[in-house]
Amino acid sequence: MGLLQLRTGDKIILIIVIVSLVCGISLRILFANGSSKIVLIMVDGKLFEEIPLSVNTGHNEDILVESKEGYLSVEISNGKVRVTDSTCKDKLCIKEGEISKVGDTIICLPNRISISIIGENSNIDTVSY
Amino acid sequence: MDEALLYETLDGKRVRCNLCNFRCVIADGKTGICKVRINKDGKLFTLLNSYVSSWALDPIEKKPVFHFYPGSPVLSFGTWGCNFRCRGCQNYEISRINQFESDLTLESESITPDEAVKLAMEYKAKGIAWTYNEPTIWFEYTYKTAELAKKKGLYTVYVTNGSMTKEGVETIGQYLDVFRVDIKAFSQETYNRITPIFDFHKILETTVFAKEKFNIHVEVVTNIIPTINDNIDELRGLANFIRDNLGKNTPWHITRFYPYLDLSNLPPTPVETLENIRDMGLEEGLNFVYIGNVLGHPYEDTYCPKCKRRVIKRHGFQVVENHTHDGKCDFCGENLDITE
Amino acid sequence: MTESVIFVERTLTSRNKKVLLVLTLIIVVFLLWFFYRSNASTTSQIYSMNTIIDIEVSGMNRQEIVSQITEEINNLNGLFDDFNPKSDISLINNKAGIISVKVSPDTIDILEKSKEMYTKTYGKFNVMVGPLMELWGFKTGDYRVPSKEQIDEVLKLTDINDLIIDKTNLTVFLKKKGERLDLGGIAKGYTLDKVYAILKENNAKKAVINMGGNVLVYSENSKETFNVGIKHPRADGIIAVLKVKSGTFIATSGDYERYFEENGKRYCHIIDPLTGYPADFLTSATAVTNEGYLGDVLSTAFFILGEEKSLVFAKDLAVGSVTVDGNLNIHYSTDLSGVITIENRG
Repeated sequence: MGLLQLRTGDKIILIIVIVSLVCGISLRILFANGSSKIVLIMVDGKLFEEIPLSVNTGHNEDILVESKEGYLSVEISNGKVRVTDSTCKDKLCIKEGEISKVGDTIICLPNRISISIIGENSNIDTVSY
Repeated sequence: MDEALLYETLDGKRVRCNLCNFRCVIADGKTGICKVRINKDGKLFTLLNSYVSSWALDPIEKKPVFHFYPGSPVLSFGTWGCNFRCRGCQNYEISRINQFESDLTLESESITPDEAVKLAMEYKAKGIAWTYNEPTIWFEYTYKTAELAKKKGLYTVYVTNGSMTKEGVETIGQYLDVFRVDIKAFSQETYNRITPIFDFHKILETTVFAKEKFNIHVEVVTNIIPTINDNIDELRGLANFIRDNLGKNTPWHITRFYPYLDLSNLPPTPVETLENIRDMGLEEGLNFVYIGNVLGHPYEDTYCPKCKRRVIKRHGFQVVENHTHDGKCDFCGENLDITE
Repeated sequence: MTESVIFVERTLTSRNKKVLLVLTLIIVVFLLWFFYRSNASTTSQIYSMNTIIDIEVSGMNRQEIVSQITEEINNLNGLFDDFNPKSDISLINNKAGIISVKVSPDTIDILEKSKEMYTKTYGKFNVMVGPLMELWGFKTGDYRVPSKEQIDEVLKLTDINDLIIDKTNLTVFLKKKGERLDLGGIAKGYTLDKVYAILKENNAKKAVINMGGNVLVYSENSKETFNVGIKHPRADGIIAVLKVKSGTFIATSGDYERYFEENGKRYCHIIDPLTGYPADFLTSATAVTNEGYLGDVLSTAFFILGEEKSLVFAKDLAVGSVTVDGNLNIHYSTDLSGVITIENRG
């Protein structure tokens, strides 16, 4: 008598479990493309929007970010991100210029808006500035 | 949901709304910052349709508009929402909306443009005004109603924050008689203390454009909030702007602030402050500067710039005496540029 | 022997074998899940201390830790924030030249450390710079370049000896009217020390805290290393990477954080307390220490001192320093040789 003499019902359950485990793992691997960068826009510490940063030319995005304190416009084009206009007083967020690398951040303190580039592949834990 | 006017399509099913100077780029399924214009599948729609939040028959002086058919009744309509978020907003119950769809249908009265005009005729109003909240974001409705109103010989009034783009004015200008605009400050920094906007110069440009292109009757209102926009030197700049770009006969209303909302801790504007600003306005060459929201004050009356006689006496929003004819002073014949 | 085999054979029926198999699967799955969950991290972003704070904590008790950290930050902010009229600092400032003010022990602590650091940095770090910051417009955003006369007048109000601390009665007094404390160069680092204590107390698994550019890294594994970048002062991305272990504080001062330009010259918010003018030798200076308040203070001091003097200082105090000058030349203390990697641009 074999150790693994299973009834059909048990075989089916076992197959389902193994298949779903395999699917789950492969899906994770498939969607974690190493070179993908994401623009993360946070308002007052909460997620406002997440936009994939593609390096395709010709594809532009303009986003008007709204917070309780005011507004700013973000332009995403050719894999670069910058603030084009803001209702804050200092406009330091505009002076910051464009960012494109994982770990880069533009912060508009008066508006409580932060725009950062995150990615799977970065080995940098954080940046001191 | 009616399709919106004044927008352009962009790639990725996004649209750019060109109705007001925020020119929001709106993604599929999202709204502009006014919250009442929505992108559905690459097309922009207005959620406001004919939803009226409040309406009333008012004397035109209440808007305030003093030099256009003085004493005439104007049927006034308001809807929901706004593209500004002024601190201390008096009409915040209708201007600050978050949950729009359900609010609008439950608490609104649907009054179509046709019905609005019929009501105006019924109430023997001389004109229709769009006010209480910002009419710019109700563009499609006000445009249709203005067109119909003009056909019936009614005049039309926009009580506005001036945020409309030039394209908007181009479209509605031929049907608009009065542009009563709030100019809340004369510097970007002060403006942003009241409400965040990118560039206040656009409000000035729009106002000048309305007057020059369509000869629309303009009156400027500045609500003076203590410690926020009451700097007299800055306001002098505004007085000069009005004189040089809109004309010295353009009425300027300096209105008293009353505490509301997040500005409830401020005091009402001292009357002396208002008087000083009014006097400065006259010094700078403006002929008609009024104080508003101070019942019974002599500066709510109109004085002839030439003979200095009081030609219109008002009590609040009531015209008590009117010594003008065809817009001229009864006593000396000076042209006061009053439309009637 | 044969008996036990028969016995085992009989008890391990095929049914029992199936049950055993399923149980093993369940335990394996549970272990995997447990391992995954215990390494999961929580990130939180808050606005406090006039800056943005990013908190990342891993481990089963991370929620509780994040809560405690947030509470402590808000608590200290309530004491140190000079934009809040009710803070200890504001109260002291408002009563300058009038009367002493009773304050909390943390305020006494940070002010004592501030006085100590004034001496250690030969006056390059001075919490009495409040009036100078105001003169240049850094408090309100109304930037202006003051005249030499105005600066000389205001410098008279920056004497550290006018800061009178009474440890016993927990009071602080500023002797002259117009004197004002500004904790901008030490508050974040000081707070990070408190955060470090919370992480240790709670046996945190791992954490990365970034308080307006002041960084603290932590791991229960003292051998684990973290890669902390230093922001490039004139371009996007980073200019160098530091490979550091748990309990390291990295603080950077830069001329790109708050500045204005007039007639083509940049005036940044880091003012030399001795001259009264914004320092302009460097574009960025980083201090690598094992104490938060020390790192925060030194990054300011290094920035003002310039490259050569910073290296001498760093050696004396046994801390790490990295400086970037106006031509983007990077210098660093020898103890960082094995730790720092300069990024290649090109």
